Amino acid sequence: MINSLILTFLIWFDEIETSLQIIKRLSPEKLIVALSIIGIAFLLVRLTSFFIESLSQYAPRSRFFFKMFATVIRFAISFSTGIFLVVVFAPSQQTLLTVLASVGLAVGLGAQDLIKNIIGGLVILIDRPYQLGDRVKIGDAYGEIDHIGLRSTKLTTPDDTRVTIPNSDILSGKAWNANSGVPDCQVVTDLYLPHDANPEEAVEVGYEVAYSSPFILLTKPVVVLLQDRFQDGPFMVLRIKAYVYDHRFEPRFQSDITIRAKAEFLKRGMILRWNRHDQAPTSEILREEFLKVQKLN
Amino acid sequence: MENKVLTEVLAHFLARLDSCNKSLLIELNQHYKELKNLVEIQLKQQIQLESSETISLTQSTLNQIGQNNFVYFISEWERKRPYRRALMVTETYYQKISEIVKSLPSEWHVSGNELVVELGNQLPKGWQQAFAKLKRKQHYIPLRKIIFCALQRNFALSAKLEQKYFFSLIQLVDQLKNNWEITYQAFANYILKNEAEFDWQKLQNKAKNLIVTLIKEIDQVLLDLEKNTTMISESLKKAILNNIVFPWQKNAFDYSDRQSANLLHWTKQLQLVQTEVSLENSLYTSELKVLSCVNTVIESASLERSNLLTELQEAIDWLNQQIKSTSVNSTFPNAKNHITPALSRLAEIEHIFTQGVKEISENLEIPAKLSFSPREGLKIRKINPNKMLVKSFQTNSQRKIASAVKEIETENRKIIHYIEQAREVISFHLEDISGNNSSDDNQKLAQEAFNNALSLLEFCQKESIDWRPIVEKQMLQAFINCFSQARIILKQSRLGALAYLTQQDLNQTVKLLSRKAISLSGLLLNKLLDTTKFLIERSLIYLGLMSSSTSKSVEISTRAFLPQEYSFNLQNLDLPALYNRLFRFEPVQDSRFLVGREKDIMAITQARQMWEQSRSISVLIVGERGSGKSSLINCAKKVSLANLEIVQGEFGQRITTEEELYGFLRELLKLEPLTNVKSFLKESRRVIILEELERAYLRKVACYDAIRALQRLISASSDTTLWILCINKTAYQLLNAALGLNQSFSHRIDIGTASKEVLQEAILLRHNLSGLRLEFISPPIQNPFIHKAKSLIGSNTTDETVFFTTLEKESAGIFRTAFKLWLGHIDSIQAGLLSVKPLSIAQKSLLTKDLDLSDLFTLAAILQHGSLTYEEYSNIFQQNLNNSRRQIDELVARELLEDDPQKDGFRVSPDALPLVKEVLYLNNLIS
Repeated sequence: MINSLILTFLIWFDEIETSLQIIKRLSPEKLIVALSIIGIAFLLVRLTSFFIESLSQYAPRSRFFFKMFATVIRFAISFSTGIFLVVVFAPSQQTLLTVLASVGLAVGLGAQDLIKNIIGGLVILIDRPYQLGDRVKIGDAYGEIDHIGLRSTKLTTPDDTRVTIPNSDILSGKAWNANSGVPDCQVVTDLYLPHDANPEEAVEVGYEVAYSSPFILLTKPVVVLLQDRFQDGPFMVLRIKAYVYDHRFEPRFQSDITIRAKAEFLKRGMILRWNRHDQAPTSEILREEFLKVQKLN
Repeated sequence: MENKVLTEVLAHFLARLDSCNKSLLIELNQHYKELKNLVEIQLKQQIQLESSETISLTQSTLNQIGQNNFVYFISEWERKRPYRRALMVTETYYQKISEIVKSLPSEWHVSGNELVVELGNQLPKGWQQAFAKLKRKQHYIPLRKIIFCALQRNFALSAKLEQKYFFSLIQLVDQLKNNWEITYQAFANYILKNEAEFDWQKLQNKAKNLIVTLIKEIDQVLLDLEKNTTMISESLKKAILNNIVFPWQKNAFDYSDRQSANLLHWTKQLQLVQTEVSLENSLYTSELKVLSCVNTVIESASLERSNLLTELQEAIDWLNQQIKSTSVNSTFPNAKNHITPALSRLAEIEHIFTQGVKEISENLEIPAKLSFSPREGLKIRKINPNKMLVKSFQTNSQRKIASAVKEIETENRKIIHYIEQAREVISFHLEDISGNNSSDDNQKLAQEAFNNALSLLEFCQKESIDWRPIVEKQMLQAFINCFSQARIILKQSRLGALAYLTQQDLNQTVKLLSRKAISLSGLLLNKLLDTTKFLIERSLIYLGLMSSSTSKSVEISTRAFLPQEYSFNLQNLDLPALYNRLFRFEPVQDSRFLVGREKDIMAITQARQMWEQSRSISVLIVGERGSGKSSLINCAKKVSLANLEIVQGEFGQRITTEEELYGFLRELLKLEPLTNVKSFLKESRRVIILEELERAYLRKVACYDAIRALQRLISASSDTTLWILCINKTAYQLLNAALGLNQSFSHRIDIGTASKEVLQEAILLRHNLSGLRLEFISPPIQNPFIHKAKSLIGSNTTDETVFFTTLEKESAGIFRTAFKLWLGHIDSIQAGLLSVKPLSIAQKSLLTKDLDLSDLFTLAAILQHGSLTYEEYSNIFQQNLNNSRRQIDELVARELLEDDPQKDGFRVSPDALPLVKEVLYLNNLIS
């Protein structure tokens, strides 16, 4: 339907080329040239991506710097290809204007979303709310950005699931960026302690646990906060805020902190009294402890 | 009566006119022949270019060629001044003619009939004569005016011939200069040895042809002029007759203004050509002057060399005497000579050049093109030859001359250097021997030192190059090139760049370029075909239309090891005892060997001064292992901390608790158990130096207590105890972040890594004391294109610079690694010459990619702790012992870790340290 509308629109003007004239323009030579341009553009995009990926692998610390160029280069190549194609077919000025008008018409009739997404892609490129490799939260999705395209942005969640988000959604919604072009990012780990645990000792353990983790980034500070909470009974929350040296290891950092802290809390008797036993707690010991607590309450 | 007088008057006038014309023609012919002879003789002159590679010989050759081919002809031309005289003759001729015309009666009364009767046989026959006969009435005719106008018309006709004559003549004059230019170019090309680009014979033939054409033209012009003069009398009579026939005709033609303009134009043109000739003459004179002065400079440099050789001989004689005698009975001969630095010599030469070209004018007007007549105009170009010459010197010669004088300095300095090195070898070993008790060893070491020093000096004597022929030739070529290029620039600015190029053989250049382009496009086409084939194959594999197994490559996967460039065993190298002694991997004790640590020593001195003012001072020295912390401490003890009570120790065992720390300190201070360390430290003033602080903690919860206790102790006792602690950089980064280590110290000395210059100085200092000569083997040229491009922009560096630049990168500025790489790259030691292989950059990417997260964490942890045992490792990473063992053993197998020879556990191998640090940095694990 759109095509017939465009053709009618084209023939409407006397001076404008008829569809036959346009078809005549598509000589085999021009088609070969156009295909070659598209092929070269494709190759260029692939080569650039490969080169940037190799560099990123060699120096993970600087991968954001390299990846910054990947999107820009891909966009530039896409637009240059479009311009080259227009030059190859060289339509008359009127035809070009007409085609542009038809595109406008097509947008009005049905391709609004596509255009919105493309504009969204351009805005992301200019505004740069995030870049390739960043750890972001867009809507419900949280993960590492691994593709910024003309139509959509793709990210991979920590569960290794790929989420595709249309660029127009990003433009209208919120995007949380954890690292903004640097490899490190802050990781918040919450640990729960009984309300009667020694707070000073808890904070000290919190600091030492963070600094003992191999995932920590030493150039940024560690903050340990303690808070009393109540939910079915009183308890304390030990919040450790530390920077991981590479945001890809965020869950592992959290896990490492938790393991180290729990081990120390157990050792110091700050949680689960049965840990005072030399041997590992069996189900009988756990049951006895549970009954003791119940009796006390 | 009157009529008879007219005949006489006319006859008299014509006779005078004829005589003037004849004398003009004779004079013009004579001057032209004088010039022609000069040019022809000049062209016949042969030049004899003998093999003259010294400046003085070249100067005399140039002088001879210049005298025979240029100066003589120019002086002859200036003496005879043929062109000027021709101009003067022409001017005089016009003056004389006007005087003769003035002597004629202004008007005359005569009838047409009478005129025909009187001049009948001389008048041109025709209807005018018949018509005149009919006019019987007496007419008034303005005789002087008629004759004047008729003459002016004649002059106007012959003006073109005169213009041709003077134009050809000035071209002949110009040819005098051009012939010299060709001769000079032949001479310059002979000196610069690029005869292939210059075809002297062709240029001379071109000049000959031009001269022949000019001569023919002038001969023809003179013949035409002669013919013209014979027709003057007839045309005059015809003019008188015409006045009778056509009395209404006005006689008002005047060519005199044009004549003056012509004369002015030719005079101006002559002046311009003369300026050009004078410029050429002054260029020639300046060149001779500059060459003569440069010769003096070379002579003085040569004298310097011969003095140095005498000094060298004296030193050799002394060494021979010492080798023969059993005891040392005199000192090494003193230094006598000094060397003029290359920069002052260069400045002297530049001064000579500036003085030499001072006489060359700064503003000159020269003709862009010689012109035929004033109507064509005179294209004049304003030039600054002095500036051009200076620019040519700066562009074409300065660098060559600088390199030549540097060569002089280097060669002369080499002799001094060898003598000084021999002196140092002798004095160092005599000092070393004096501290050693074993007399047999002493005798042996002394003989080795004397022999090494002697072999060094004998080598110097034998291999010392007489730089004079090379340098002299280099300088000569530089100056000749400078003047030759200046002439080309002058010619270019005269003719314009395009005209100049057209004058040169542009065709040949175009042919050469097109041939190159064809061969290059062939190569490109081949490459393109190969690439296309490869891409098609890859695409087919990618699309699944072709199996990758069909590709012919065989893939073998191997575990990545430490690159070979780092892993070699020094035990396998057969190095002389003296060399091994100088490069032993031990902290420096002698402050002479402590290079580039002046600021660090000053900081410790300052800390001591402040501490002596009872201020609380403590010093933390941070640096990588092998970067010279212990050497700095050793030297600081002798320099900055002299005359103080010093207690020194190091954390040999892992300490993690407060009790362990105090136990360690009590042992160090030799105290009884349970003694209060803090009170003891408060009792008296002393310096406590503790090394390897990285062993006083474990990166595990509750294992930082020892450091915390030490921090408290330092804060409490630093007014009486000057604490100096050493820690490696990675451990410092962790402890500073976790415990604020930096806060406990008043001074922190981050000794960092050594720069290229410091490494070079430290290595060469040791090497020079060995008495061996040094040679760097050139690395193979990897990419000829890059090499060529580098040499074009002049950024090609010496083999030595390349070696040390690579050494700095590969060793990451760590002395220990740098020394090991140096020793490992010794290719051979033969006849007192030590050859060093080029240092290649190790391929680290394989290993970098092959290391996984646990490997990286292990390496970082070991760096943070100095070394780790299996148990410590399992504590830090909360793993069981088997896993720890597997992880560490894997890295040992990769040659990244090794068993710590002095402490328990495993450490990062010193050879692998730069690589490990780089990998950890690239992964953001250390900063």
